[in-house]
Amino acid sequence: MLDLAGNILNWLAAGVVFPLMLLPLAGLFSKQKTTAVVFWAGLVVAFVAAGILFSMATPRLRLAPELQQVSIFAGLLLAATLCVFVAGGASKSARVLSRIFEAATRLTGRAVMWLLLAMALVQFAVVLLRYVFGINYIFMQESITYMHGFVFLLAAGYALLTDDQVRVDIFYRDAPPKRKALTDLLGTYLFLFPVCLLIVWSASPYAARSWRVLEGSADASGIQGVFILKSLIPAFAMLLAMAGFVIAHRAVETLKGRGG
Amino acid sequence: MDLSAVETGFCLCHLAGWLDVMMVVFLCALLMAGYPVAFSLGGTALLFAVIGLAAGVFDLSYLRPLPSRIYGANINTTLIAVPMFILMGVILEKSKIAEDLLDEMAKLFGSMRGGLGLSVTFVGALLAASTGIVGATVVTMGLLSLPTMLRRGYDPAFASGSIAAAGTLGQIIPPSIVLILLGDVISNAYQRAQLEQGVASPETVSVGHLFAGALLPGLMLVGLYMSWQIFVAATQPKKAPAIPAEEIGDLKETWIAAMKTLPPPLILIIAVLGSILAGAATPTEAASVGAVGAMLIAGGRMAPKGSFAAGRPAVYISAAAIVGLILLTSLLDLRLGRENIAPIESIGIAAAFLLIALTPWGIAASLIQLRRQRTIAPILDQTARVTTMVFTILIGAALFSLVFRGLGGDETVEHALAATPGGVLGAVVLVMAVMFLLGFFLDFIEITLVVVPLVGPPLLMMGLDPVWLGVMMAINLQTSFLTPPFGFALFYLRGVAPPEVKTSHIYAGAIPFIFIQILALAMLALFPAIATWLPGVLYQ
Repeated sequence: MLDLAGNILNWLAAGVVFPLMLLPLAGLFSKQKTTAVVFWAGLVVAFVAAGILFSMATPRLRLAPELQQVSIFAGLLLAATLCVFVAGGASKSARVLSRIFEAATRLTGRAVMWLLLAMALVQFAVVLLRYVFGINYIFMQESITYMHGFVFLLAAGYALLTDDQVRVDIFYRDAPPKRKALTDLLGTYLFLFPVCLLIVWSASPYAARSWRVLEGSADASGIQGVFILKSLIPAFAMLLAMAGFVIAHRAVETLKGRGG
Repeated sequence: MDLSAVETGFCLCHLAGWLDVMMVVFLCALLMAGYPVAFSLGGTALLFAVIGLAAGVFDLSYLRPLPSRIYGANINTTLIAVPMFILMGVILEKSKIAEDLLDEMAKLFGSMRGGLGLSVTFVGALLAASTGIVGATVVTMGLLSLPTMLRRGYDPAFASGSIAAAGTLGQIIPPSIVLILLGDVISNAYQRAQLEQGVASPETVSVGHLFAGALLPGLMLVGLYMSWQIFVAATQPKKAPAIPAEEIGDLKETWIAAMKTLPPPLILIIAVLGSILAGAATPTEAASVGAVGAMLIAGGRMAPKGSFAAGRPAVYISAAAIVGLILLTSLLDLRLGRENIAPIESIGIAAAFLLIALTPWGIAASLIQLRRQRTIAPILDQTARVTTMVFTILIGAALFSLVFRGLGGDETVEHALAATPGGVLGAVVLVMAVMFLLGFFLDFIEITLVVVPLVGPPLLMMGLDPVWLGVMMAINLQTSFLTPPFGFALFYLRGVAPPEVKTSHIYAGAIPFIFIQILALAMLALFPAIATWLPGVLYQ
């Protein structure tokens, strides 16, 4: 049951979310609804084909191309393409999705930031109890680790949106808006998305192994939720990818001379 | 040599041995484009992993530890100190404590020649100790002090140099967050170095060691800066004039105001640092005390006069309760769950219960005040963003170093260092020079997380002291941030300086401080004891 849920999640991530990431790029090249969709579908096919070619060309990857998985993949892509068409083209769907993703990453970031306060207070309580009465609650100590993980992993997308991820801005700072937008667009597609993909790809089995045994704390009185903590890693990559989508969309809008 | 490759003239396999070096060169070029560093690191790593895979010199299994590296950053208890120290620093900044400190100090020292410069250095050292983010300190002080200094007739070069230099003090004076990161990285490197040498029971270095090691060199720098400022004020009074006495107002009032503003943050910082150095608390524990203390200070300042339950009395009672707890704990054994608790100890335990019950009151009152002033959300927001920025770079750097290792970068670095003429000295000079150059482009955090894990183990295997090496690196980077034309601190200052301060003023003003830095580095190189003595005394 859990395996199935995990598999579906994985395929949703790989089959829908990441191809969707190509939408802003499609929006850049076309003004008409049909051409944009065709362009996007073409991009997706090229993207997938490149992936398959690469995996065939390098047997070191040891990917087992099971027919079932490929068909799920293709079906999801078809469905997504239809959705994009119905929603009114690549540009429009990119705009809608960008709004959704922005809200999602922002809300997550603004929600987890309160844990910082809780973290400081709980740690302070731990210090008082230990130094005064010599008592120690492992679950309290562990809850700080959990809160720390929630904050730094789930706020990463939000920090990308607010431009808090540091850049080397010797040249970037004074660049005209269009050049900045181009840097952001290229960087997002060439670096951010592949890195997110890699993290999802390598962290999903890692988290899945943990889910399978419902991995808990090493200590009986600790918090029995290590599997949740480990699931934050793919979530971190997904939130970053969502924020990247927004950045790419904004960049495209700037390049087209609208907004920003 | 592969014959077929000779025939076709070009083959990826020729490049295979150079991939690690190319990776670094590519990264440096790429970073200039300005895409966020964390993802430039990760993206470069991925690109070269793919090239390496195609050339058959890289194995995907090198990437497998990535999730456990990320998880490791999560469960590393030392690194949890980072968000809490950031929280402490942001509270002190957002509740305008820093501003008031600068203001009071300027009034206090202003009647002296060069007094404003001294107060900038003093506050820089103090603030720095609580935040450790260069940009933030330089910007705060640039905005607050530079206009005042110029209005008082300070030489623009001298004023901007003082501010830029004071802003960089943040990294070297504990408890700065970069020292926590550096301590963590150096401790791993030290373990690795000893493992490779086959040391059966490796010694450990902790963040506390590095804090202790950096304290004296940091204070030495503060002393050197101040001496220079006094020297300038004495020899060239025009560059650093005194504020006329009639403008300062009543000196007594100034003193009273200063005595209200200065002691709380000073006591807090000394308490936090002292408990770490004395080994009484881990950095994480001390950081939480620092954060809660900063909340109390901020709440106490913001509270309106008059209200009792949610006002200053609540904060004072809480603070007094905490002090009382410390006294009580040091006098009596209050541990629960023992047999034979003496009657006096029972009374003490009852009193401790009462005091602990009083503590949340003031904290709650402070939080209510912060919320009323609408500062609590901005504080947490900024803390969250800075925290996640640091850790995202850590993740990008982890990916980069996994691929770099997979491509044989480790051995390349090791061989390069071993082949450097001049033995250990040559290797250290080479690493310092490279870090100095990197400091033009990369911030302290990135260099700590990317470069130090690579060069640390081979250098430490040559028998260098890890604390000394860490402190040398920190001062070296700090110098780099002050060096024209690329120094970070100068850039940040340029951003907030008024237009009448020319860029050439900022550059010229930084130069004397660079000489001071070089002097400090030379002293540290000649007398390593400046860094290693204190940790040696504190941690036998």
